[in-house]
Amino acid sequence: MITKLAWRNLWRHKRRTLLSVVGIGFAVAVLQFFMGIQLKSYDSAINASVSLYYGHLQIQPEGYLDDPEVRKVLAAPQALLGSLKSITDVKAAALRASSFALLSSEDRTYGAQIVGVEFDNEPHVSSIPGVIRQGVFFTSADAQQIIMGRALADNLRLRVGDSVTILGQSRDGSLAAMVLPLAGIFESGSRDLDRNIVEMPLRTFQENFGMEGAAHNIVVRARSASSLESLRGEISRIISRSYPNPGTLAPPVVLTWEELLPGLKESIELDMSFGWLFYFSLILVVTLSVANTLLMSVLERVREFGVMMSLGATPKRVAGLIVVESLLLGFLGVLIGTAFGVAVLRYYGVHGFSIPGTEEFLKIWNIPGAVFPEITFAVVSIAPCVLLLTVLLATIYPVCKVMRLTPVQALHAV
Amino acid sequence: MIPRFLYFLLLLLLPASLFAQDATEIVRAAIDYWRDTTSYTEAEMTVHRPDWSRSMSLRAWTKGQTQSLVRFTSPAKDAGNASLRDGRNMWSFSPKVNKVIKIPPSMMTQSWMGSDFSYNDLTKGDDIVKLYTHRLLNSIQQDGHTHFEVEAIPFEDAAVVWGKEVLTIRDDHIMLRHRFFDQEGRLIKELTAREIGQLGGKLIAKRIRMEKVEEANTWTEMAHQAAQFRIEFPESTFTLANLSNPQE
Repeated sequence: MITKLAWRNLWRHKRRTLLSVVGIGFAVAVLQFFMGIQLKSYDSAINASVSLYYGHLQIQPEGYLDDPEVRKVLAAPQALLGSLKSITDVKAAALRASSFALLSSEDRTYGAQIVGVEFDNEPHVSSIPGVIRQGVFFTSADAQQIIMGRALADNLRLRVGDSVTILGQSRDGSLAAMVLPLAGIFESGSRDLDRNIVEMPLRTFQENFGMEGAAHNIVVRARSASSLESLRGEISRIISRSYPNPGTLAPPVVLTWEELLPGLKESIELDMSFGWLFYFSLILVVTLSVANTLLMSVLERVREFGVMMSLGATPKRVAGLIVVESLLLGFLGVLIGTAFGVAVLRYYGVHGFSIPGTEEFLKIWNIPGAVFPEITFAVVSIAPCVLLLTVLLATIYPVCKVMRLTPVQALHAV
Repeated sequence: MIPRFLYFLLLLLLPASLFAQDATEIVRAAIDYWRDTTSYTEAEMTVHRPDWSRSMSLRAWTKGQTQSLVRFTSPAKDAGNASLRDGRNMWSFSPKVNKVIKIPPSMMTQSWMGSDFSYNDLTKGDDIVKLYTHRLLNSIQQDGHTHFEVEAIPFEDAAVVWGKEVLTIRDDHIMLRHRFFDQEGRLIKELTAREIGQLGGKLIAKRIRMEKVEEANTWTEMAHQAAQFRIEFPESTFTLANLSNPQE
C-alpha cells in the first residue's frame, strides 16, 4: 500500500520528479563512463608496460634495483627458473642479464642498456621480439648480434646489417668491448624503450661480459595480474628454501611492477585522486539537489501528513513513506542512468574513446591513443550503489522533521 | 668628501673580498702544484667493493690543466685500454675492438673504467678555480702545518653537478681532502689523501682514495709508484693517433 502511495506521490509533481530522476541518472551515467575509461586506461598502461618489457614480477639480486652493478648477479639462475615454471600462476619466465654500455657507430656514440635475453623464453615475457619492424630477432640462441629500438638506431644512424662498437663493463670489472652487427630494429611504441634498450642473446652477453653463466634478473609473466602478492609470496618461499642460511649471501628479492615502475604507479595514483575529487563533487551536487527536492516535497505536505496521522498513521509509517518515495526516485534514476551509461560504454567499447591531443602524453606510458572501455561489474555497480546510498542519506533530514510532527501541529501548518 | 658610511662599507667589504682572494689562491696553488706544467706518473688503481676488489696498473701523462692521457698496462684483460682528454672532450680506446670512441657529454657522469671516479672527475682540470666562488671556512694548526678549509660553490651557470665542494688544503699545497656535496647539501663523495710522501722530486699525495659516502666499503684508490714533473713530451702525445697507436 505504502509503495503504491509513494509511487502516486512521486508523480503528483511530474516535472520535479523527472528533473531529479534525470539528475541522478546523469550522475550515474557520467560516473560509469569516466570510471570505465579511467580503469581501462590504467589497465592498458600497466599491461602495456608489463607485457612490453618489465613483466609482472622480477627476481633480482638484493640492491640491484637501486644500483644495478654488473657484478651483482643471481648465482644459479637456471635452477630457480626451473622451479618457477612448476608454479601454476606463472605463465612464463625468462632470464636476463644487463649492463650499461656505450654504443658507437661510425661517427656517433650513445649510452644504452645492453640486455642479454633468452632466445627461446624472451618472446613469452616481452612483446619486443614481436615488434621487430626490420630484420629479425636473432638468427640463433648464440648469435653474435644485437637488436635495438628505432629511436636509438636513428640516433646512431644505423641500418640493419651495420656494425656497432660496444664498450661496457664486465662482471670482473674489466672493460667489455665488442663489435656486433645490428640484426633487427624494433618499434615498441614506448619512447623510453626505443631509445634505451639494446638486446643480444643471453649466451652472447654472458660470453662478452664474463658472466660465467650468471644472470641479473628473472622476468616473470603471471597468469593473472590480480593475485601478484600471493605469487610473490610463493616465489619468495622457493627462494628462501634454496638460500637456507641468508647470513653468507643475501637472497634475491622479488619485485612487482609497482616497484619496478614507481613512476607509473605514482601517475596512476595522482590521476586517481583527481578522479575521486571530480566524482565526489559530482555526487555532492546531485545529493544536495535531491535532498532539496525531498525536503520541499515534505514541507509542502505537512498538512497532508497531519491528516494521515489523524487517521491513525504513525510517524514511523509516514517516515517510511518518504523513504520509499526517495528510494523509488533513486532506483528510477539509477535504472535510466545505468541504461544510458552502459549504452555509451558499449559504443566506445567498440569504437574507442580518445581525447584529441593526449596521444603524445599517453605514448610515454605506452597507452594506445584510443581507450576501449570494458563493461565490468565494478564499473557498472559502484556508481548506482553510491548514488542510492547518498539518496538515502538525503532523506535523513526530512524524515527527522516528519518524526517530530504531532497531528495537531501538522494540521495547523500552512 | 667621502660620506662616513662609505668608510664603514669599505671596512665591511674589504676583509671579505681579501679572504675570498686568499681562498681562491689557496685552491689555485694546490691544483697547480699537483698537476705542475707537465707530469708523468705510474700508478696502481684499486676498485674496492664489500665483497670484491680489483687492481689495475696504469701510466698517465698530463700537460697543463687541459690535456691528459691514461694507459692501462695490466692485468692482461685491460692492458692497452686508454683514455685521452683534451679540454672538455674525452675519448676511450680499446685494443679489443681497435676503435676510438668519443664519450658523449651526457655520459660524463658515468663511472670511468668501473671505478668510483667519473669521467667528469678526470676532465675537470682547474674548473674548481675558474667556475667556483671560494670562501675560507677556517684554518687550523696540525702536525706543524696549517690546514685551510675552503668552501667552493659553483657559479649559477656552471655546468657542474655538485651543489658545493669543500677542500682541505695543507699550507704546502697538498690537497688532504676534497668533499663533494649535492644540491641538497648531502655529502656524496670524498677524496682523501691516505699517504703523503716524496715522489718525482717533490712531496705529493702518493695514495688517494675516492669514496662513496653512503655505501659502506665502496672506494677506489690510486697509489702512485713513480712520478716525474716538468718533463718534455713529444707534440703528438695527446692526439687521437697516439691514443689508438702508441708511439712509445
